[in-house]
Amino acid sequence: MSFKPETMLRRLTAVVFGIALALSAISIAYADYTPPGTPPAWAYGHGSNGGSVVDYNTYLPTANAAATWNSWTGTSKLSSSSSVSGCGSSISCTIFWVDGLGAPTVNGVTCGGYRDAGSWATAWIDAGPDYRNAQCGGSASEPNFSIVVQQATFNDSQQKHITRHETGHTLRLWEADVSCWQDAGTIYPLMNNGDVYCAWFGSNTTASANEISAVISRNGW
Amino acid sequence: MKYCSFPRALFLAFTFAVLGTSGAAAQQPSGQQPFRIQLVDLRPVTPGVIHPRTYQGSLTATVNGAVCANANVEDVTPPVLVIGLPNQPEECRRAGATVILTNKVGQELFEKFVLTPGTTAQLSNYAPVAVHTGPLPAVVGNAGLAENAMGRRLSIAAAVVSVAGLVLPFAARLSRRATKPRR
Repeated sequence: MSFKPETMLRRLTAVVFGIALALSAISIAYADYTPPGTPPAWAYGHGSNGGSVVDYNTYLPTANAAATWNSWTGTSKLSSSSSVSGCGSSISCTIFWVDGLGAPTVNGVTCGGYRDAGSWATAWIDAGPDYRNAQCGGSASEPNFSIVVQQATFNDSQQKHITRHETGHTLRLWEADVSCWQDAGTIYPLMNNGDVYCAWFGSNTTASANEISAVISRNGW
Repeated sequence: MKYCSFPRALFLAFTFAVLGTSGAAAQQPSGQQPFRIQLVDLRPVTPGVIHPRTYQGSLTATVNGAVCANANVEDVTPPVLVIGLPNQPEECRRAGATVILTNKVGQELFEKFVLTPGTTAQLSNYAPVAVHTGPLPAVVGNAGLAENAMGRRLSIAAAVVSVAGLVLPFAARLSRRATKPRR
């Protein structure tokens, strides 16, 4: 049995590359961030029955957000609508409306909330008198979410980011103030809200595996 | 004079001084009475059902960044937050200041209070502030990053091994050339 230096080197190189590939795969698996724990965000989300994503005279792909979250979670918990009928009484609703173009009226109540200065969109919750930061005809059993969106020209990715990110809030995900590439490796959290450096911000339109898992478990899906 | 000897007078003076001091500490001037926030439940706490109060875990009251009071709010009986006690920071006695409440994970509650000494306010709405997307200054805490640190370490390890994989063949070739007999 002879040990040719060249053969040995080729084998060694192959082993080294193999290890590198394995480590890279593990690295990607570990790079996902952990969405904030308990309490994770709002005490209420759409819940086990799901809810409706309502487009109240916006220009946004709200139906796409509902369909995409259904696809990610492998469920059909979210529906889409252009009507607020039943919101807060028979179904929990996420209602998108545009700042300055008039707020929707739900169960006789004009949805409150305003857009934080400088933000693209701000999400408010009404889960009844003991858990609401804006009135929007919601209840503890069927909470409503009032999403106030900036009246501006957003590109396709930004529109998807806004609708999917805000819907993520209504599914009990909180903000992920993690830098897209520094802290989270190759993951660009959908719940990154642009507070920290993120070259992909506005184009981070895909929920991470951990975000999807958190939505499934926190909503009892 | 029989009952008023010098030692006895000294003792009485000392006793009155101590009692007087402690009495003054216990009873603050009217402007320094504490401000109380009574937590109120609009519906009963039922085991297994999310209750907006117990969901908070704990509540911390701060005034201008100074921590004034903290209470576990998971108990069945709602507690009272007392702000402005003598052992609390000076900011906790600043009348007219804004009292901010944050829950167990640092989420700021939507309801805020004006510090009014000697009065009791009620908190029955436990919703946190609104959330947003878009470029704004940071307002909430970091998400858990334990896995990210691991991911970074593994990424660095993968990079080191990859570089080694690239360099090794060249090093070997140079080594072969050096050891090859020259003609």
